[in-house]
Amino acid sequence: MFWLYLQKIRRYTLGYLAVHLEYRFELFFWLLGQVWPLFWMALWREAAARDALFGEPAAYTRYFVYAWLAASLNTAWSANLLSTAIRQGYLSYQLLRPFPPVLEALGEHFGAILAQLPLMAPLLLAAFLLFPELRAPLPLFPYLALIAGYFAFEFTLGWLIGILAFWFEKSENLYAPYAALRVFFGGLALPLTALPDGLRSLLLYTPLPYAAYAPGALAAGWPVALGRGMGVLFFGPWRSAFLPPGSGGGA
Amino acid sequence: MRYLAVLLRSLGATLAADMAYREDFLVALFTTALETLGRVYVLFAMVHAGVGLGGWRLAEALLVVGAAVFLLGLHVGLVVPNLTAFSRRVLTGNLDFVLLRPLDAQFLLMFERVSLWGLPDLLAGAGLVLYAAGALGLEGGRVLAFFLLLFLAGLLYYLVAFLVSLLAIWVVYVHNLIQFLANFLRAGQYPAGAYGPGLRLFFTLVVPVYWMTTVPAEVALGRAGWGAVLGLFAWVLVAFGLGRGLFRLALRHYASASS
Repeated sequence: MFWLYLQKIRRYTLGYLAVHLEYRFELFFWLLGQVWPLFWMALWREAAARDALFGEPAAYTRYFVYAWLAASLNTAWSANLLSTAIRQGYLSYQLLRPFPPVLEALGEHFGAILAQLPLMAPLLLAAFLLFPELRAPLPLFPYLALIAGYFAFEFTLGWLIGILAFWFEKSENLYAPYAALRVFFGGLALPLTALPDGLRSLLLYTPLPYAAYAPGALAAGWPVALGRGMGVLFFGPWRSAFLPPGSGGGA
Repeated sequence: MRYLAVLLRSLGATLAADMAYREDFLVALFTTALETLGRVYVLFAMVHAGVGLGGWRLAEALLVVGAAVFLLGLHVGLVVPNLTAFSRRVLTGNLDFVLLRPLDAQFLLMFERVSLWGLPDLLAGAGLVLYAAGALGLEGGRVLAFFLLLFLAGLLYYLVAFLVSLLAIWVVYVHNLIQFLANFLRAGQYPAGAYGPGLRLFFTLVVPVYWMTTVPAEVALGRAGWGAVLGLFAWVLVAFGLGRGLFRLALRHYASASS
């Protein structure tokens, strides 16, 4: 069963990869639309060069570029997919198939991410040429693990919100408040090092900072509690919501 | 007069359709409140951490943030629904039905629908501006000038967005292209001088967000005079002329459903 499911995901990934490559111009603009954190990198580098900040300009370059890279690879739009499928009624057809509809959604995400890679390459190459500090190696395994972990979290959350469309008909907008919080407290708008200590340590117990701040900080060489991150992403919210305190539910 | 009647009718029709989803609107209101608070907080944290805003004080920078939020409201309420519909019309061949109508096609495409979703951002943006003006002690005439310039800036933004979305005739599907424009507005929420000379030049000459958000604030604060106002006017005229010309050119390349 498991291998069969994996094969389905692979097929859907290839299929959606082909679809997205068809509209690659569109994909390219989607990618360009994500570059605004790099404008803000300019603001922070300028300030760091004036010695007004904690850290050096090089660290901020690494932070913003790698945070941007992570955030463009770990975004999920599963809430939108499921809510639209429910509202327009084609979920019925998907349910007639002998495997769960979530496999197609996963394949669609993977296809879009794969199609993005060749477009991302020239942008990254340009950044590597412009900023030599990016060329130093980064802890690759934890970095990728954070990306995969956050993607898994956001995909699941999106799917749960999508399910609400069974009651409200349209639920993708219920996802918007989370998306707004992610922009401001996820690390793209500003590195969380700029926040007061109390607020930052509180945020680190929520999934938000693992979208962009944690991968970026990892690349910049700032301390990141990886174990706690994985705990929050995989167990924290779910287990503490369903288990009484003291029964081993806390992460 | 005929244009005005058509405008009011079509706006009323799409508003009525939008109001059918009431929970949706409440969530939009909540999201906007969150986003506005987040923007102001991020600005505050940046100033606190020592990121300079090109020498602007916090309350002055809030004027620029307010302008950007106001324009984002316009983006969500008017630009996205119309231009997405335009792109879909090209995809399905429905554009023919617009071209057949006896009114100007560009007018019909630009003002066919309006979405209530933009309203919270418009209110939040105006609120921020009024709050900042109060904190700075600006007099009424200056605030009025700010809003007049902001209106022009909105027109400029829409004309530029229309210009860019004409690409739909060639590449058919441009939804992300429209999102891409909003990201420049996001860059425009900080005073242009804060970005350093290179990017400032880019925002002044290539993507005119400097004119849309920083100029109204500079005029209201008395840092820029008639030159900046005329510059904004010139941009609007250029964008309108270019849009007209390119629209004709694009229509010649439009492979309609019926031909």
